[in-house]
Amino acid sequence: MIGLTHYLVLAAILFVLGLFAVLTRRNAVTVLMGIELMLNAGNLNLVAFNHYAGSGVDGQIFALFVIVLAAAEAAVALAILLSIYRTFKHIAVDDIHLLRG
Amino acid sequence: MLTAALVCLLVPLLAFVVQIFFGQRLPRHGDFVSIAAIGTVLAAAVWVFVHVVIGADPGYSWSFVFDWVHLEEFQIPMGFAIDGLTAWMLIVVAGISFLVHLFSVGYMHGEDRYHLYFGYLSLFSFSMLWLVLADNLLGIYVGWELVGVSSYLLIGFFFPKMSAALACKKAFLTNRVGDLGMWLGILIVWKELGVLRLEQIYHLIGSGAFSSHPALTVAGVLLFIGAVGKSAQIGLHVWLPDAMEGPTPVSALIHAATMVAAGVYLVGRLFPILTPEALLVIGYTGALTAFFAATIAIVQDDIKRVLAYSTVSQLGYMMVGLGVGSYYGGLFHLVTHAFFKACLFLGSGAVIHAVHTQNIWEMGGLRKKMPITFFAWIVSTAAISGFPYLTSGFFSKERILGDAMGLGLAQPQHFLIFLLPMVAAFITVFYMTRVTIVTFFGKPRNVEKYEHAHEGSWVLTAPLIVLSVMTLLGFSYAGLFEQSVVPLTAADYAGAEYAEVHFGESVREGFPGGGLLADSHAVAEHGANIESSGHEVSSAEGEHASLAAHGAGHHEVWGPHQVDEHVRHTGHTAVVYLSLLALLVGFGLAYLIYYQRRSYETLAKRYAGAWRLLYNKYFVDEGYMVGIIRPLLRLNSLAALFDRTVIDGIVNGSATVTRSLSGASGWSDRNFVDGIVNGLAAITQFFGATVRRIETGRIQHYFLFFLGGTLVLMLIRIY
Amino acid sequence: MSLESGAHTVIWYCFAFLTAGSAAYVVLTRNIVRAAFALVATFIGVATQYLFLQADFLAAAQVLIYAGGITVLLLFGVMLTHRVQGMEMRLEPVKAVPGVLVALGFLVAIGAAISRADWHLVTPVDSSGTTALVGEAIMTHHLLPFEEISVLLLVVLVGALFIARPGHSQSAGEDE
Repeated sequence: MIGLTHYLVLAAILFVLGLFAVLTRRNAVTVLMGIELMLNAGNLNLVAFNHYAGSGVDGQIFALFVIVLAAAEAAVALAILLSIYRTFKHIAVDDIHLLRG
Repeated sequence: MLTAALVCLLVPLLAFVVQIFFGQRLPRHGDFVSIAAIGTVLAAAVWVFVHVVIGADPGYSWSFVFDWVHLEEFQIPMGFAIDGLTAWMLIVVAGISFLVHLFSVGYMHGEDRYHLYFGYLSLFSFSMLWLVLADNLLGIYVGWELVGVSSYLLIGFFFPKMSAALACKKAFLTNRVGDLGMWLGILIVWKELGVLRLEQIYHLIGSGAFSSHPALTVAGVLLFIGAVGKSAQIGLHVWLPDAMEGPTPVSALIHAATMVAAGVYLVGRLFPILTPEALLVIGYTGALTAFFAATIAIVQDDIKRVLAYSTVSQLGYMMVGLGVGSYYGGLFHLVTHAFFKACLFLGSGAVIHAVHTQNIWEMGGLRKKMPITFFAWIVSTAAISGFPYLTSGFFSKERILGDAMGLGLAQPQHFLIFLLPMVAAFITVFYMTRVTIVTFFGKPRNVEKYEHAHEGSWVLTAPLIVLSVMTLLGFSYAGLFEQSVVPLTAADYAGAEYAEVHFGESVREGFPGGGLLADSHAVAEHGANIESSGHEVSSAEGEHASLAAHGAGHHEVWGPHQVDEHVRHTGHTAVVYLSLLALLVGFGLAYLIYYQRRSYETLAKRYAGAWRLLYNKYFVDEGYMVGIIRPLLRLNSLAALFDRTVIDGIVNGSATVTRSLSGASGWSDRNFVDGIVNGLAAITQFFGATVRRIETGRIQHYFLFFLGGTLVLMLIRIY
Repeated sequence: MSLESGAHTVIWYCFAFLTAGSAAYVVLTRNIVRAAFALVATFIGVATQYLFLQADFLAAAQVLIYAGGITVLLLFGVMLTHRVQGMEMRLEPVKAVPGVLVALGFLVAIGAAISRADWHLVTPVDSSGTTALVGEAIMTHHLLPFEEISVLLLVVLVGALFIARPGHSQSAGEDE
């Protein structure tokens, strides 16, 4: 029988994969993909808790808002990427370090 | 009332937003937006003033409270309150701000970033009004930091100039030191009482809720440290002279009239809860500040720096006033000083605008070229010197010194708290006369600049006229101030019914504590009511006793320091004569030295040997500021000059004493204060150099550190 | 364990494997276009998880917004920022080590938290779908956030256009 724990573990795996991508990939688009993975993992948790440990649909509503915000975030992030690309002619995140102390 | 309070806050904020985003595209770069905003605020302030100060009972207090943070068992309230003191502060801030806005139109004409300048002025007005209106410590703190930021922006307005950029940084950092103290004070009060609204704090402390007397003293002193920073008291005063890098109207508004007075305002607000020990700390700090700043002011060449040190000195007076328990004197000096010092600064601004230099030795004879400025300058110089009965400065200064002398006579171990400001009063007259003579009298030293000088347009002269009229009318509002700004003690609040408000307005008519000064007539007439109730309270509550009225003469003791009323009366009488003496001696000295004698260059040439000797000597002492050396030399040369002239020994001696004192204060300033500051900077630099290696600029590294930290916390939580 | 329940479990594991596997492919592949398409598979996998959890509206939204919208955005991003199609992505082994360690540490920490937690579970209500409930909740209790989201989307639209505007970065420097 599939229970809450199954979903949580799946979400944890997705989250850690996303984290890994964000931490290690050089390409900014891949980093963005990692962020989307992490957001998905969070959403999965929200829905799973809503199903197994809550009442009503508040968890789902919250997940819905997260989806919309993720879409907005992706749009702005890609716009920023374009801007960065125009300036640096590349989008390798570890070569962009103007703030180095 | 709520409407008026909201107008005062929101209109300048709106003007700021408009200026920042659209100012550049508006006609005239939008200066009219800010001026209209501050004009509206001024109208609201006048309305409040009429209703609260003239119309209502002296104990009237309106407040509006809402919960800013509302969690279960944890509320942080925010709110605004208007009482007599607030109404006065509103009119001072709005009035001077309005005049400075006007003046700036002429002074800043054609500058770069003109629209931002007016935006910042609006931001400052908003911040200052917030600070004044806030009814709780946190709100005051918020306003406190906001004025810090707007002051930073305005001091550094000419930021392409290196000195301006450094000055604004210095001002901001020095203020932070004081703010830290204030924040700790707020935390202590919060921990002890769990409330932040001032009325609640008065009430609880009046009912004896604070754990111990020393803790209350510590809290008071810590809060006072915030005021030390903002009001440039000794130790943290170093930023104020440098802040003169800002545009002159800004110096008038922020660094003379309003923001620096915020510290005094804070101490005034906290007055009911300060213990006599804390008040003594405040008094001594003020006395030292008043004295040392005055001595430094003697030797400055830059007209604005003279005024800056004089401001520091006058702020010291206000602190002395509050410290010795003269609630009225300290706060009234705030008001009068705001007017006459703003007038002096705007006058110096008009002069600088005319001759394009700040060095007083390049001026001279301007009296004929700029009659209106000269008139305003003379009036406010008379006020700062405490010219009796004609000027507002006399009423406040005499009260401070009188009360200080009362304390000094009653408790001779604290005589210094009177002596230092009294000597400073002599010096004040001296250095103000010196600047006046050098700037406005004599022959023009720089003919080219002199020929170029002329009186400014009406936007430059009108504020000067208004301010000097306000200065001359001091006698008319001195009584009004005393009636409306009533010193209450925490004990007065103890008996008051206090309702917990979470959202809404409340109005307090008359005084808390029930029956004390119940109707306004009693106060107006200084009648029997006050005396009897004063007696009751003083006998019942001990040290925080009757502050009710001045001059009643029948009181046993007066103020938080338990000064005998007769002694205090003697002090007041003596101080009037001493003030007159100060006026005569200070003026006479300066007249003899700077008017009768030859100009500065002649002296410097004649005593070139002494000049070089001194110059080399002070070169050894690396700490000496270059700016102090030349004035020191001049004083030394003057001392030599005295030997050959017929001026008697007192003059000679006083010059020597003055020289060594200003030398000593300069020395402590360089070595002691700067040493600490530089040491801190060195430590910071060391850590900065170490830590900067972590700062790779790569966002993934930052994220990695962040996650690593999170992971550690998670593991701690789990295991 | 009934047959139906057993089949349910098996199907769940299949989809869970699809989800996690495609996510791993996204992270590990060196071809960015392939990564983007694997991401679509992951999103669809998560959508099936929502279906298992009886959040049918959410599953539809997931497919529409993530698999449809965001992936297209990402692909545009890839195309606009790479001159050579299918450019190889380097994964530097040295720099990966702390990243791998932190990621594994998180996996352990989350796993420990899950295994130790004492959940207050309720018996899931078997419903045919929650679309109506979600719609009702959005229009009543969550109306204000809903409206705010629409404002936010407008702002994002304008903001993204502004940032991505050609020549913006150069002209901004001159405006100062």
